[in-house]
Amino acid sequence: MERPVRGLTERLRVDVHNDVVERARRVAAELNCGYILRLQDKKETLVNINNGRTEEIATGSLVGMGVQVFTAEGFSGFASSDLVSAQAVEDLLKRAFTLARYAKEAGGEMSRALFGLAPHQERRILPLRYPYGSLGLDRVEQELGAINKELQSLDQRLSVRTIHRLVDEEWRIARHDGTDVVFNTPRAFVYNTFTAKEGQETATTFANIPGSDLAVLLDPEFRQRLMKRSRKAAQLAVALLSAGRIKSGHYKLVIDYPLAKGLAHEAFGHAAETDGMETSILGRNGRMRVGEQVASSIVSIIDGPVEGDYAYQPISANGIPRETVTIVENGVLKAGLADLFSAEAAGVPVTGAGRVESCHHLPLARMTNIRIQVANPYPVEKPFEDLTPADLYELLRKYNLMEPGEEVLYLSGFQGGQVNPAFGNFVFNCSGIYRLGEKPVLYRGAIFSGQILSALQAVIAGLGPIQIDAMGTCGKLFQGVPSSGGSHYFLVLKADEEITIGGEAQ
Amino acid sequence: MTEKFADELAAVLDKQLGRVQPSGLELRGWRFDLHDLRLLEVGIKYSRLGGPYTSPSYKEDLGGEVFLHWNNNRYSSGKLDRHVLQEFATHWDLWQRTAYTDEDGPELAEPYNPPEIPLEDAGVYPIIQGENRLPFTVLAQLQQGLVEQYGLHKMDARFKVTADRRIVRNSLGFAVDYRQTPVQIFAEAEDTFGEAFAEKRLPKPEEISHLINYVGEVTNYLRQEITLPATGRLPIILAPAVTEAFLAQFLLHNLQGSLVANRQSAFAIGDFQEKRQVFRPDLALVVDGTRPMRAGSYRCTAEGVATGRIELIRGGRLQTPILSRKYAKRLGMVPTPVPGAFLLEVPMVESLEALYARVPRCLVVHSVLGLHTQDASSGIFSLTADQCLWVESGEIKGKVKAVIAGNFFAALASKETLFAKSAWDDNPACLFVADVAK
Repeated sequence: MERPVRGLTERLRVDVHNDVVERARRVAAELNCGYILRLQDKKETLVNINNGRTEEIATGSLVGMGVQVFTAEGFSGFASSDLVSAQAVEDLLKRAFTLARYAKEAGGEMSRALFGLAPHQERRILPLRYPYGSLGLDRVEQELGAINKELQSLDQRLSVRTIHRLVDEEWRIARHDGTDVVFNTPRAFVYNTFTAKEGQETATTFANIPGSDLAVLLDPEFRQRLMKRSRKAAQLAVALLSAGRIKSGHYKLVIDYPLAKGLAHEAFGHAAETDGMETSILGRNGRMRVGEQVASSIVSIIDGPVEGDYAYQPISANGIPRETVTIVENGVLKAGLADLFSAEAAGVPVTGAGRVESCHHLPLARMTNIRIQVANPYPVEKPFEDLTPADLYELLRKYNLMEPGEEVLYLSGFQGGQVNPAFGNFVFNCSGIYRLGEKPVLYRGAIFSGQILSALQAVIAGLGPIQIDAMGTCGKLFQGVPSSGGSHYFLVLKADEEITIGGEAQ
Repeated sequence: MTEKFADELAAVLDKQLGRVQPSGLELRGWRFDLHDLRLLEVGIKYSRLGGPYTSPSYKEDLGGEVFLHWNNNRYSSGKLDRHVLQEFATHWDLWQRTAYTDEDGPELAEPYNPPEIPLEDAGVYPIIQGENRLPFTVLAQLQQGLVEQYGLHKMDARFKVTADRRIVRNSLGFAVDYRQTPVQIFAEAEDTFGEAFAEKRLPKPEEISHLINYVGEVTNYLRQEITLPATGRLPIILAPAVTEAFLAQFLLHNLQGSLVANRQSAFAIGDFQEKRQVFRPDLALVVDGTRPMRAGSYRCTAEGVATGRIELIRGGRLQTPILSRKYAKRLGMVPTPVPGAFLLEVPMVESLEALYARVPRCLVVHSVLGLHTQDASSGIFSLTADQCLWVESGEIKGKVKAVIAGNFFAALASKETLFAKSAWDDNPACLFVADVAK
């Protein structure tokens, strides 16, 4: 089955809509307006196995288009529909044009950024080994059932939910300037949720493996990694039943790479998105503070699309190729995640950062895969999944990153986060916390909160190679898009007054 | 258009009833829930209306869900879209290929007439057609009010109106067809504090005034930053919107029938069977989908379960989980309405200010970061409260930021916890003691 089934010349479902693209061009010329037309065709399957039983197999599809119109003066309107036809795009263009006129009457904001672009034609079709539809649902259900059953058998206090989602998504973006780009953003995951219960105590943990196709289920390497992660998460859930709560305070910390993705995403990535630069802590008078030291000099932060990644998107929702951006290089702010409409005001080049949840939404500047790289990381021989808290303690001692008897907390398992870029406050949560020592002591997870500009100054070391498959869904302004990223296996952060672990009062 | 689509879909499904397919499956029943939506949204970002991130927007979409009952306890679940009828053969094949076995598969609703609940405001339609510019007017009014009355210059806001025709049918003849018009307004000032209006009708002038005044007053208090004067075990007050978010995260989550049945909730099925006392004896949690023109109201669920008013918790004792037909069957209980709206019913003091008088000092929490990251099954929270007011001797002293931690279940169980009514919110403010750190 290991054969690339898709290539640059392969026809996609969105290719059939040439008449729609042509009609849009003609009608816009008559109206004397610019536009961005987004055609989307998405199919997805979701399988949910709960404690050995199939809870649901659900299928879904989304076929539709949205068109954002700009008058010659720069006023804009938007209309979208699940009808895709030449007549429908003409109706949408006219409706969006009318809304743009309303915006003008109401004294709305103008933007002529769209009119300065060079036309672009490109096809970016990701080859897949196990694409959508290449495996019968019976087999998918059987594989997931086996995973679920094996994990459930680990401990009778556990209940296990296994969810698999497979998405086959295609986009076509066309503009009045002749731009016509086609790309796909396939994605998949297997996600296990573990709930341990004993008496009145309950604890929940997660483990997953993301990717772009059914390899997440079929490739032995993916499967092995998923099972190792899942066994650790399951054991953690059970251990948390008898774990205490940590005292709140400021500690020296070690975070794993999924939490480092959270740090990069919440504590930095959002603040680097140029559509928020007027109030972002990384902006001054609306301009990005390029050239300023914003992190420890050993820290670099990079965002960009990675083939095979869960959050892969090669071309922006405005039809501009997405660049890999070094946002921070050796601690210095270098560039922003810049979309078409806010790059100029922020004083940085457009990097193609615009993304949308669906054709019914307006694009925002967003991350794809964001990772933290630390200069001269310490080597780690074992795979991440095989390392225990005791191993980590040994590594820290070996590299003199921890004194004997020093209080160091290891935060494990990302549970999501949130940020307010205007104030520089961010939080993220972990599944469990270990006080490191020869015999690490486990505590319940607690919020990790801090100030953006302090957090990255606190990074003092990285351990292990880069691992960037920590997945999530980013919910900026109520639009959910896939996100991912990571760092070295572990990052070490010195204690800082601006970084707090929440918990019981001291 | 919508009715024609529904009629045709029902006809093609009916035609398949009782026929053995080449796959060996035989359709025994079907149900669908169809929404024909048209909406208009206008927004403000950085105090500028209708820019590229908030272009005035129109959307139309016909979609929903279909559920098929086959022989041998096989079921299929799929999304409906406008193209289903044109490509029926493809979908029909897909639905058969994705059929799964479920021994707890639900029964279909017998025909009946669910309660008539007023949910439609005719004033919404001219707005969507572009004949009435109310969203533009209201956003301008909000902006003007925040600038002129409160000196606030940075505002983000949106106004969304939706016209939804909903059709729910099944193969036994159950058929419900109604219109609803959800309206949502949200305004936030200075990236600090926001408030929403959400009903199935257009706002009254006094509701717009309330939005301006509430956002303006709270934001201005939150601009006067002071150092957190104390840490440790302290009284905190969750503002009504924060209380509601805590209830959703920690309580409703654990009352979901699927989680209870699968041992993924803080509560076990036996807890409901024995009506275990889990919270204080004067506390009830009510689901009410019957209130006219309210955001959380509806006539029936997608499965045809009638809306209603039910108590999930009464006298602090667990009464029933939130049950779909499937989990009602599995647990041998009665299906419940879904919690479009939920109301905490408990003795309350008259106002937030009355709560201030009960404690010498406290932290009033207007916003938290990271609530969705909390382990709901444990009831334990550890959060950054990024927008709080410090109150001493009944007087607001200024804005503080804190990290708060505690156990929300324990707070709801404690008789020491106090609640305060809010004229503008479904749920009360809530005062209890938690761990507070800088």
